[in-house]
Amino acid sequence: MEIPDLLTLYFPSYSEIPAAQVRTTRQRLEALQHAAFPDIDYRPGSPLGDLGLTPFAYLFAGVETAVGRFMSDLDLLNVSRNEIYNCEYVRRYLGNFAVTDRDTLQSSGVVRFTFVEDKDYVLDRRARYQFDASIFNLRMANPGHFLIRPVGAALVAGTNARNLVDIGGGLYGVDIPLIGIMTTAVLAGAAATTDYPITELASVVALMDFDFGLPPASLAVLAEKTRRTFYSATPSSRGGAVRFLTKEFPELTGASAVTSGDTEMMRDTINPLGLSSGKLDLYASSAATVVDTLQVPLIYNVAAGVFVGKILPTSIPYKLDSIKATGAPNVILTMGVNVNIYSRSKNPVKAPMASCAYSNLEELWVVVNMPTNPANGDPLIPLENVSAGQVGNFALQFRQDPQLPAVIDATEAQGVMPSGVDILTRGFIPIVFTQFLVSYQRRHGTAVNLEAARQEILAYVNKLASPSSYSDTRIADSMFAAGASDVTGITIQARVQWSIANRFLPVSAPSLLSNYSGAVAAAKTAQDITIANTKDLKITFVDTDMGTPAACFESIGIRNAILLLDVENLAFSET
Amino acid sequence: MKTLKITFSKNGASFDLGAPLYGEFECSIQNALVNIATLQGSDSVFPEKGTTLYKSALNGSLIDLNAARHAANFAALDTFLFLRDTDYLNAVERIANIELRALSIAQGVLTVETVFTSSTGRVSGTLTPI
Repeated sequence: MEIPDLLTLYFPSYSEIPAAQVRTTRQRLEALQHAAFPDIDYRPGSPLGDLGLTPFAYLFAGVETAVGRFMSDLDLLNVSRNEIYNCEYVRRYLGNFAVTDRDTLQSSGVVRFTFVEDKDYVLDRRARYQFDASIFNLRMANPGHFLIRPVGAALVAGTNARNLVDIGGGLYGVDIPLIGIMTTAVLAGAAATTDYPITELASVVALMDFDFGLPPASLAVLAEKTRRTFYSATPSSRGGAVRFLTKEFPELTGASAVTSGDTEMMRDTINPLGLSSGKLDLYASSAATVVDTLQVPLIYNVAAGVFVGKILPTSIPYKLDSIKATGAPNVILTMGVNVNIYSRSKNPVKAPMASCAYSNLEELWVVVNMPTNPANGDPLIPLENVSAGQVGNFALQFRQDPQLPAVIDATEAQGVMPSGVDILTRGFIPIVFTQFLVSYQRRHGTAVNLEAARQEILAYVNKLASPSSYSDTRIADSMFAAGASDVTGITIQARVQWSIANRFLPVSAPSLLSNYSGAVAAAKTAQDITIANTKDLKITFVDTDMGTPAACFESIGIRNAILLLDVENLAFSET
Repeated sequence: MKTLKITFSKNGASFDLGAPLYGEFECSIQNALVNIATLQGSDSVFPEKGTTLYKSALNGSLIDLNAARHAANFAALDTFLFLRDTDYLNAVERIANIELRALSIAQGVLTVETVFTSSTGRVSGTLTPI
């Protein structure tokens, strides 16, 4: 045991001790001594009082101050306020909670590896990827090297593995997170070099502006982090799970945990006896968005007159921007009209129906009705003969969060997953605005900077997710800052987007490829939830069909909703 | 109650280690005498402790007997109040009254008579040249 030098480290000089404190201390000591030795005079003016007790009161007050300072160093609230008396001790103390500034210094981002051949590859875990002077390594949640498997090949749980995706042009891509030290900014589109080249590797390109990570943490910052994380930083509790996410991925803008018993939790309803393991749904969102266009050949079902095929996106899409026939780009294809996307859970026991949406357990199938010329009934989308029959080529443009797969890897890593807890990591469920109209007034002779207001409102609303929540006052603040004299109303139209898909295939449904009509008949349509008032954005909705064959297992609440507002849907009206 | 005995003389004060001073009233009287001779403000813990009598004598304020009596009265009152504030709550025989009478000023020596009366009626007096 190391004996602390209290006198040097914590003891105050006597001049630092207020006389009032010494007096109080002396009075307490005198009361104590008088109770024990009532026949001895310790009063002020007495020899023992003045020459014994008063100097001892100084010493005792100093000891109390020193102990108070020591205890203050153990109280992380005080440390977080920069009230630190022994930095070295506090640093060692914080080390007990595994809180250091080393990990949080790491910068991170996601790159796309593009290969010219669809086959197995191994990325050595020691490989370095360099953007100018910034050097990164693969961010891997599990031990071993990073395995890249061909399109559609099986992946082994607990390994660092991803599938290649056909990104068109004879190229195959896979998005992989990197972590490292960034000395100069790495922007989306920047190309990296590596010291472990692979012959078939065509490029390594940044998908997003890399995040710098957290700056070097002061003791106060570390203490504040410790106060927030020390009770748990693993996904074994709601708070611990969120802290785990924000600790591992400081760039996340939304992080939320839904546990058994929450209204947003649907996965615990599948065991009526309540004997299954605890359920934990983790929702994550970062500010980064990658717009990806996927070239998809869809098999033409002549009998049904539809194109059918599975979508294999590079990441987990959260919004479908458009779908076009490559050979007939002018043909209008509209979701819900002549395009339907079907969702099927890869693991219906773990995540049935809509509860698998925005996770890596969701399998997406797209079905496009062959449009015909109303004049003569001729098909409008050209067909291409392949070995499997006839196909039509389509381009699907998605929006994806490139960080989500890395978050899923981290939360499902072997060393993180707590026993007895069934974790599913997903993207938030979007509430998509189709209209966001801000009505305002301005004083005569003044101008309102609508562009500034637009940017501010978009930055606030778009991707707003737990733990933040929507407030009209923030919109009003933006308008006032832009020069408006009043905000007279906010009119919205929004819809809950349960999934990229608009239909859900139950576990008993046949394949869309082998029995199209049977699959369509078995498919369930998600409930259409629209929102027309901003106060209803704090929505709580649970599938009203639960317990019936029509159940889609939909649920949304403040813990798993995210707002999506595109610039074209934001409008202003001067009243 | 007991305390170390202090012997006061014209040469100052010294501890008498021969025997302790016994008695609640006696101990209080000794404390009072110490207080009368203590320069007020010299103790940072108890700034109200002491009197201005000694300071007045040193700075030449005691120009005549009237001034000395005036200063002595204040010293007696200050001492009484201080002892009252610092006395034990369970004290039985407290100091009920202090009289500090200036008798003479001659050749740089102020002679005062101090008379203490206890709460039980006991009276103790002394003649003190300071």
